[in-house]
Amino acid sequence: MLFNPRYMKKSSTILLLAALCSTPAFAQANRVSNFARDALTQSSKEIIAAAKQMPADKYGFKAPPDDITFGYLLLHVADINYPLCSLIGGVPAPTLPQLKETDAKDVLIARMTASFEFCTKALANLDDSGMQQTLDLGGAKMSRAMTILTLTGTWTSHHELQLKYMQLNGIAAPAAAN
Amino acid sequence: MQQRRGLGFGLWRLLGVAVAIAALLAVFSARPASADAIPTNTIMNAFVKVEPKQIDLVVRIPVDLLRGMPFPQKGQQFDLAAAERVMPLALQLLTSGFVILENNSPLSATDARGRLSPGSDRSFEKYASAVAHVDAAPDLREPIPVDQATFDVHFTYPISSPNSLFKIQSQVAADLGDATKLLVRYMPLGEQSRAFIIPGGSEPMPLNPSWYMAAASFVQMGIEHILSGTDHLLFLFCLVIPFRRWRGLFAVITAFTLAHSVTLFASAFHLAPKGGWFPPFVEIAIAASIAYMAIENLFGPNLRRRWLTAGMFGLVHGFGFADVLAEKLQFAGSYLLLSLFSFNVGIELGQMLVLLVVLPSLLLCRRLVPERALVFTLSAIGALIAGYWMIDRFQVLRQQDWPSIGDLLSAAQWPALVLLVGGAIVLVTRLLHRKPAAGERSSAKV
Repeated sequence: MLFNPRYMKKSSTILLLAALCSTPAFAQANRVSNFARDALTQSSKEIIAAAKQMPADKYGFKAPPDDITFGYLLLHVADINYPLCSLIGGVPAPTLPQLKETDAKDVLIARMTASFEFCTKALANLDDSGMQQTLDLGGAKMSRAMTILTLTGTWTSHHELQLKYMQLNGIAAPAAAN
Repeated sequence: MQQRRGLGFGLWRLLGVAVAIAALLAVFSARPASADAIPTNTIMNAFVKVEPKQIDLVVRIPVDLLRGMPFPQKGQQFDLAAAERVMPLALQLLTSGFVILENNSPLSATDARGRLSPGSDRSFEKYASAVAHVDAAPDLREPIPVDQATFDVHFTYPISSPNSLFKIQSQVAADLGDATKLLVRYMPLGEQSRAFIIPGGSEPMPLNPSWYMAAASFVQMGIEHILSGTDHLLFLFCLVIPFRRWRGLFAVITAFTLAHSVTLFASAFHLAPKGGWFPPFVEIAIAASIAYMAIENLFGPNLRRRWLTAGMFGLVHGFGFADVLAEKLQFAGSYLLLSLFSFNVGIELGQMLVLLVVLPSLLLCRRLVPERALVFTLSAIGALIAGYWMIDRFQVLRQQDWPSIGDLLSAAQWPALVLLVGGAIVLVTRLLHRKPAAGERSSAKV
């Protein structure tokens, strides 16, 4: 499994607004591709802002029963972004050195930011012509469109988890997330 | 090899192993239960109706499975007016979430409709009401709580013939594997409807297989199951380690085959005990059967009566086979008996293949290693693996609800049947081999 079902919750309203506001009538032919790009822009802003807002000394925090630390969560987002964006966009993912969840806050944020930048490049030229094509997600067979839905779903649920961790530590959500 | 032990001693040994197993389980049950309780099954309900010129697929999907779908919210409820504006995107995404094949060619939906519904809606109890519900315009003022909502869709696919072979696959949340299930009610033209449960991540499943497709796929399934079932293979291995000739093995393998066929068929006809506890219990019993067989090898097996032990444990292994088969049997279409028989044939073919490799290998090893050392070493390894499995599988059993009294009574029928059949066989065997008493001899002369 790419992600833990415990963290999967509802879709964010923000993704809808992004989809609605930036999908002009002429772009209807690439409705799904545009949705993916808009969700990426919005979610990357929210997730990176939340990561910056969380103090470095809280990166080791984990809230039972969510048994992963905040630092691990950031690495997890990057670990999902690279293979999924690579599959969706048909662009090879780079081989990167392994990081630890205990690495410095800046290092973890940099890795996650780089993964979103990779996604931006991978999805830049995506169009709706190959949305039915079946992709292999490490054994699970999914169409490109369903893989996009899975990816946007991970952004939504992981950002919700970020906000939950911050709330438990009495830290306000960043403005971008409100 | 030692042959002196009778059935009575064998039963005492079986009882001893059972007591040891019970003690082991009691020790492990003292551990605290895990605090984690993750809901694993999320069901999508679907109707597939075949018409002369089209197939209608109507599906109800829990919104939790569509995590990335940008349905707008107002507080804890969906904003239905805004949702209508993202409906084309949602439907376009979901058309690739379900794959319908006609004679292995994917069909394209020509019409797609969808709406959000509250979890309390009951229209999916029947096909007609489900279609009417999805196709109707939603009441935009209806409150739909986010945490209980479903997304209901209706796709129409043109077909070339209602008699084609149709397959279905769900790719919705396929990354969650079999934590998701697609419950399909298939309604073929002019035939009785059938229900299927398709685990997430499955390959396209045939909805109306022909008899030869059903038979071939179940033979293949049987072979694959025995060849990939390390526990069944280890049991078979421990069963045959002490044998030097095919002749003695014949009765053992036949007893094992007949016995597992009985429980396999019984399970297919819903005669097996019910409840979530039963499959893990069977898994433990299978591990225990290996442990017993291996330990018996260590202390000197009674080869003359091994067919009886093989038969008794065969009943347990049959339940294990049935557990695997249960999910697949729904895809047998109208050919339940044929598919069961074919699966059994596959199991036997797989067994024969294994024995064709194992027995010559054992004979070869006997030339290189003293027999007793060989039997002892292999059996000790088998016993250790089986012991580990028993402990490991008990962790799964612990997470299940304990069976009710009714479940236990239902389960008790099987040990009773084993004892009854075993006792009858032993009685007949003894009667056949009994030497006539002196009095009987004289009366016979008269």
